[in-house]
Amino acid sequence: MDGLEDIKRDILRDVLKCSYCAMCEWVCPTIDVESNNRIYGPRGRINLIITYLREGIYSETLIESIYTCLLCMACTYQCPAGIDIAEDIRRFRMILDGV
Amino acid sequence: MSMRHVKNKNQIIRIIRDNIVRRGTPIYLSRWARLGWIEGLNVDGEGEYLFFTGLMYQMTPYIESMVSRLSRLNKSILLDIGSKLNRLIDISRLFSKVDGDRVRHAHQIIRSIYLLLVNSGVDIYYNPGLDVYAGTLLHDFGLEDDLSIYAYKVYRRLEEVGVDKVVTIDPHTTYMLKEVYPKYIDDYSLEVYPYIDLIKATNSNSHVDNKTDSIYVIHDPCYYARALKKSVIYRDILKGYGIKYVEPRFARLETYCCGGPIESLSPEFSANIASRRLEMLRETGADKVIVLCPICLANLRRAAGHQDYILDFSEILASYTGDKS
Repeated sequence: MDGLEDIKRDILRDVLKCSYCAMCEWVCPTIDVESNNRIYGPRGRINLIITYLREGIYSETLIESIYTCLLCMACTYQCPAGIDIAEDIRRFRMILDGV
Repeated sequence: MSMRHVKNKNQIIRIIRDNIVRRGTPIYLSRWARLGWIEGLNVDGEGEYLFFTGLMYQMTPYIESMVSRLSRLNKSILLDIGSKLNRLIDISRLFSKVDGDRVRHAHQIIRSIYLLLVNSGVDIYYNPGLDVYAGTLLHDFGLEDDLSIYAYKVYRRLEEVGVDKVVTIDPHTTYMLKEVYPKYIDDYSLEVYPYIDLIKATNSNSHVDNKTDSIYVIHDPCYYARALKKSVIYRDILKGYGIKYVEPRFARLETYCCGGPIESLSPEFSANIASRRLEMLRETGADKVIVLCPICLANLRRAAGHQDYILDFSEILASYTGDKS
């Protein structure tokens, strides 16, 4: 099993492919019920993950965003860049578990 | 979300994690709830496939009880005390007062699946000692160390008694055993078949005339539709049975989650998603909703407010074959 630093590197490599096109958002149930507040959508989650992994910014918003993800994979199948969004979010929880 | 809620989230995860690791299920499950579906069935002996419920359907009444209490407990200091006490005593027993009708309904669904398999000529057997929770929440919460140990134990127990094929009855257990466990266990060789892959796609008991004019709407479970690519199989079975169905907005690969996966951490948020999905299902004008997952069953049923509008795929088929227990 990979160590946490390996996992962080793998996640960052994947999420940095995001060009913020928003193709992932229309299928996301959590952004849908939260009036398009982007922290509840895949694109917002990716942005928060990048901010944490690059700058170490930890916030209540980050926790709320990551743990309201359903891991339903709807976004993963829409991403034109092929980012495994749901799996990145799930694995990112491993990192938060150690914080 | 306040820091208080962040702390609550950690405490709920700790309680669930401790229960799975120490007691084998995320929440307390009585012996009757776990095994009551067997009553009157001859399930012993040997066979080609081990019938593996993964205990998910049995847990649905307890999940519903827990979620309604968690909504209140979420803002309470009791959660802080409870998460510490839970190492010594199972505090999820607080949620063990469940609706008996819901438990019997879960039993009926499992029996329906068992009988559908038997009547399809599938050589199955059951062993209660081997039928355990697959650890889905350890996976979902990212508790990788715990999951790797847990998955190893589950697999070795099956391997030791020579189980090489299992039939699963829900998408989450299927996904865990088929897709997740192999990532943690080097020599993993268990063959995993969801029951929808094995049952006959036609009604062999055509003398049973239970056909109605009801029109159903299908709610695809995320893990069958996306992770396991099964959405064609259960539609073909419905067609084979002559059951009329319509599609909602967001179907098949683009299905809309019921909200169930976050019911333990964010029960109100989860309920809002279920209500939104229910709106989409209702707008089709269908008489009833077909679900194929115990989490969807529990979450949508709670949103609908009554049991009869949300039905499991297996109980609909059983009503056509006469296998309803």
